[in-house]
Amino acid sequence: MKKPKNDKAGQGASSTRSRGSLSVAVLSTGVAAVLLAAAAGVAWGLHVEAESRGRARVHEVRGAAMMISKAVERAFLWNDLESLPDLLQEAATQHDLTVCRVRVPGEKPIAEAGSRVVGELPHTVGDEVRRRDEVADGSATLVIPVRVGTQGEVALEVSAAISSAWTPSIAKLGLPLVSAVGIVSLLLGYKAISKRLAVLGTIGKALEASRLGTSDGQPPLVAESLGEQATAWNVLVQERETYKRFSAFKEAAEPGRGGRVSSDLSAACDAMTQGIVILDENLKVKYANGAAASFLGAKRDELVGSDIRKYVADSDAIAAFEGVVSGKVRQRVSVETSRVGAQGRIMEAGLERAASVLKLSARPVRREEQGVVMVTVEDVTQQRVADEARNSFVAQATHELRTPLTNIRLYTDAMIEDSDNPEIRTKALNVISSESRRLERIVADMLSVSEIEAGTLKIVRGDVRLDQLFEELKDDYRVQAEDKEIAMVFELPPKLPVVSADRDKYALALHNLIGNALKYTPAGGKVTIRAEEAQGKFLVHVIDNGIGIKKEEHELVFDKFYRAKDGRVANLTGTGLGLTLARDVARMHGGNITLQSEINKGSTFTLEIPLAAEGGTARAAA
Amino acid sequence: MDIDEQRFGAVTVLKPVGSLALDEVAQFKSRLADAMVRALGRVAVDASAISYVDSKALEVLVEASDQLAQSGRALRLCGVNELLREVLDLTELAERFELYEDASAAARSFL
Repeated sequence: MKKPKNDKAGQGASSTRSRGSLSVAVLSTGVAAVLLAAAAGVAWGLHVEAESRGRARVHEVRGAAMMISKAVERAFLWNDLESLPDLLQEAATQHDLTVCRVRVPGEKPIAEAGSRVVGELPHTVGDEVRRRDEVADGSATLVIPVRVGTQGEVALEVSAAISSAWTPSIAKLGLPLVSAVGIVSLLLGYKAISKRLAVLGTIGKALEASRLGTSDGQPPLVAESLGEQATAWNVLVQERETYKRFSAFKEAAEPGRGGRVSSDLSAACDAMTQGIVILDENLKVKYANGAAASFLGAKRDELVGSDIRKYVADSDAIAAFEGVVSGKVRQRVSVETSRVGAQGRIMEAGLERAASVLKLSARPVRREEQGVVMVTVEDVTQQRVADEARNSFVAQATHELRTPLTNIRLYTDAMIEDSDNPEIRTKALNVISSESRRLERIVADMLSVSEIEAGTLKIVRGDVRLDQLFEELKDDYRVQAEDKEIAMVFELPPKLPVVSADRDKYALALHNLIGNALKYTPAGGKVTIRAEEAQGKFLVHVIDNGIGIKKEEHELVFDKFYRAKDGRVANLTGTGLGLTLARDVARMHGGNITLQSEINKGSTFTLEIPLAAEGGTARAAA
Repeated sequence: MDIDEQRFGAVTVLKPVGSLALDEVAQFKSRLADAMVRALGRVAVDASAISYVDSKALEVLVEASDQLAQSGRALRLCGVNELLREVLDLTELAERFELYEDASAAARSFL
């Protein structure tokens, strides 16, 4: 028998050994296949042969049984029973029978192979003997009926062993051995291949992870101990990583290439509220950040590569850009433009109803060279509005200050000239007194306005004697009303309470309301100031029959700097802050100002505050 | 639902009054978009009169803020009451907006 091959060739790491292990694997598999096939073929052949032998033997036994039965019949016919044992014995020997006898079924045998005894033939013999022909469990059993003269039948029983064993028995040993050898070869072959399969399997897994993205961005390396394929794979992966890093670095180191900047810088630029635009020497946009795209009213992809003149029509701005580009201008140039709506290009400043004011500044990007311009775009609309409001307020306040100052000067002069005249002296002192108070009020107004602007308007509560307050009001406005021939009437309850409030601010609010009433009522009109207590509140109604306010503007008039769109209002000076201040003061006290008005009919402003100090906020609400 | 519009200088403040949910959200969205375009992004939303918001309303606010984020800004909200503040905290959306106490504070922040 063959000895199993003792093959250590499959366990090396060198390339020759690895190639060797592959050939060994192939050879082993081949040999195994051949051996196993041969063994199978031989086994089949032996099996078929054994079967046919078995069948032949059965055939033989049947034939022998027939012949014996004829011979036995003849013996009975000639009444030669003594010859039966010899006959049967011969037959048994010749045909290798295990059983060969004649008997009546169920009785003692009449004659039997291997026994010299001859039994007696019973006088009564059964009629029919049943035939049997069975082949089972490796033996054949036949029962053949034999006629005995005219007396009936007896049974001839014959049995023989039928073996289907394979021969030669040497095959029984050989075949398993050959099969074993085959299997061992197969195992050796598998062992040789399995190492290589393991490496490929791991690489395959790494590839799969990389493809599905489950490797967390790590390069798909494998353990080098698996073999040289693993090492080669790792080298490949490392090379790719190096190449990737190099490309990224290259890109980052070359900004402006195709308009791209490294992603951190780009994100930082997009987080700015000022727009940044970079132009080349032809005034084409090389780069624009998010804010710039928003201000210029275009998507970033459209902007890059387009001529800036498509989006900016202001000639000063374009001139500034060209100046910087040509290198003639080395410093920053700023131009304020305005932007009309969302569709329009950036137009020149000065348009009356501009929606926004944008400040464009152009700077050269490399001072020594020409060619690249950086433009910043800033939304300065709110600052401009604030500036304008402040300016107009200051202008109006100074105007308001002038009048009382003039009066004071006039009457002091008069007193100086005519110091002896007591009438003039009394009048002069009264006027100086009330005008000074007026000056005080105006200054307080200005201070409050600046507090509102800064968001720091506060009230300081104290006890306010309303009777005194209203006396002052009457005095302060009598002259103004008389000058304008407006009838001013105070309708006050007999007893005015003492309220907890900030006297200065509350007085200011009332002054604003009354002042407005007088201002916006034409000559010959009427202004009524009616005060009342109701449900824990103190209400003052200032009623005029002046120009009135349109319904749509009832809420708007309280807005900061808002002046009604009525042409008659525009002619009168006003800061647009009086009502804002009055309402803030009312709300801080926990009260409010409400308005009822009809255009051309007149207005009624109602200022209400709680009598006790409840509600309200310590600081300005709006 | 009424949406009041007030100008604080160059700043437009939108003040929705009542419940901001379902169909009303579409109206609010278009008013907001309009104001953003007209005022070049100088917009604030006064939330002091909002009684209820649903997720659609929040979506609209977040979208507006995201759009402003492209130019380095965020949507300014003012007058946010306790309930709305809680909603913003729970949905972790509070950081997406700039919150101010009242409309003037929000308007001042544009200077």
